[in-house]
Amino acid sequence: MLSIVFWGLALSVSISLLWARNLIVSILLFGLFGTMTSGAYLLMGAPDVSFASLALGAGFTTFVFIISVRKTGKIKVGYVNTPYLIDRKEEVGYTGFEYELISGFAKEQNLDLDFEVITLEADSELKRFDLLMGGLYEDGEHTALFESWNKVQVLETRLLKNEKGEIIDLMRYKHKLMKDGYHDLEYDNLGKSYYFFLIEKTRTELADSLKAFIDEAVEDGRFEEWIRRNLG
Amino acid sequence: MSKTGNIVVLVFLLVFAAGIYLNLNESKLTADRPDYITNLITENGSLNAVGAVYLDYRFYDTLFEVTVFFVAAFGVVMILKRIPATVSEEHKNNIDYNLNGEAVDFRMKTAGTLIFFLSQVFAIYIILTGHLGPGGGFVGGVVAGTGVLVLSGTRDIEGIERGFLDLGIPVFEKVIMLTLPLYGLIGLFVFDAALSNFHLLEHMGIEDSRLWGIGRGELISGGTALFLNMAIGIKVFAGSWAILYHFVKHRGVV
Repeated sequence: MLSIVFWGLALSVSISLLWARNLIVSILLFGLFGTMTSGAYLLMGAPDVSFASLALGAGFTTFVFIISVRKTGKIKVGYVNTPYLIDRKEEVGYTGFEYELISGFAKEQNLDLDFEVITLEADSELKRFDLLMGGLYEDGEHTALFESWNKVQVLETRLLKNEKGEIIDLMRYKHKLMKDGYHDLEYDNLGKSYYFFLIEKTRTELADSLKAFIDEAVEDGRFEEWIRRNLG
Repeated sequence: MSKTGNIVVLVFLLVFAAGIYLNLNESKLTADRPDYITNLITENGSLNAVGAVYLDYRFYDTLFEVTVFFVAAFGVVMILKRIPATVSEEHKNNIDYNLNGEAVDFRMKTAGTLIFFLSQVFAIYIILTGHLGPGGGFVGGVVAGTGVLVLSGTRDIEGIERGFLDLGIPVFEKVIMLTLPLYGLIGLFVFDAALSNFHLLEHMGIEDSRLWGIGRGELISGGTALFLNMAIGIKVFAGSWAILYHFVKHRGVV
């Protein structure tokens, strides 16, 4: 009779697994499910099966999953240094809107981040990264890059074009304005565009959870706060 | 060497399986079927009825359960050997690294060693008393494998690898796969049927003697149950380690 309690607990654990977005949490819930079924088998008079369920379901698989998540949980981030979005300063470390967003995401998903500066021109170098960031926008120059990576839309921006035909985005334009205090060239507004995070093509689950995280942050106001703090 | 060894073992098992299958005739399958429930305690001598069924009356099933595990480990090793081993840059320094490539500190070492020893003691206990209570070779092997997994997450992975090879665990694995059919043949030629359990000490005239510690409920009871549990335990332990070790070495990922 008491085994029904354990089956009920196992059922509720497996239902709660459906809503677990964090990988570590879902692994621990899976281990808990193994423990619950083990208890149920024990009370049903099958101690042998109970032992196997405990050793495999709660012990072995939990450890294997945790090790593999730790192993794949290191995300190599390549970034283009962009003021206000992701900017490394000697004393303070990293600052910026995109940095706060990605580190909030990493904290929620138990991921380790490994930052490295990149230039978009070194195309073959980029393959070893899982995620590219730092004010990336579609300006027509790096179409091959944007096509071969998963795009996650982060923030709305504007593109501007000067007399020489150079395209520049709002953040870099603002930085230039703050630094120089004036404009030597006239800029035309090209209209709305977006900053993107580029995620390695095979890691669709990473792209999906990042999208979900951004939607959530917009809803609960964190997104607004990051914008207020970094972009003004 | 390892490949030929594995193939020899597999061919031997296939020939053995065919031989046993041809040896089974209808009378053995239907008419002579033992009445497990009533005969179990008197005939087999194990206190654990489940263990008695899978180590005696249904040992043909158990043998191939072990073989499936053997083939799985063999396949993983064969496929991964083609992928070059990943040598982490960090390993060049004189610091110990675990299988995640993280530097090991003393807290991890202490906790990992403690869990390892507890799990090994528990594994040995449930393997040795598999015929007296719940437990047995399969569960014990998995518990021991989990212990090594915890250890390799908290200690120098290369040291564990050396220790494993020095102990000759991969060789043990193949020897055991050969021993199980040989055990079955002893049953066929010396006792009543292939793969049958036999009470060697009782055949020698030392029946149910408390002096020899072979009475019911003693460690040496249930005929060959103790030997089979130990063999299966080592086999499962070695197989689970071989799979994990090759994943770590050749892919860098479990």
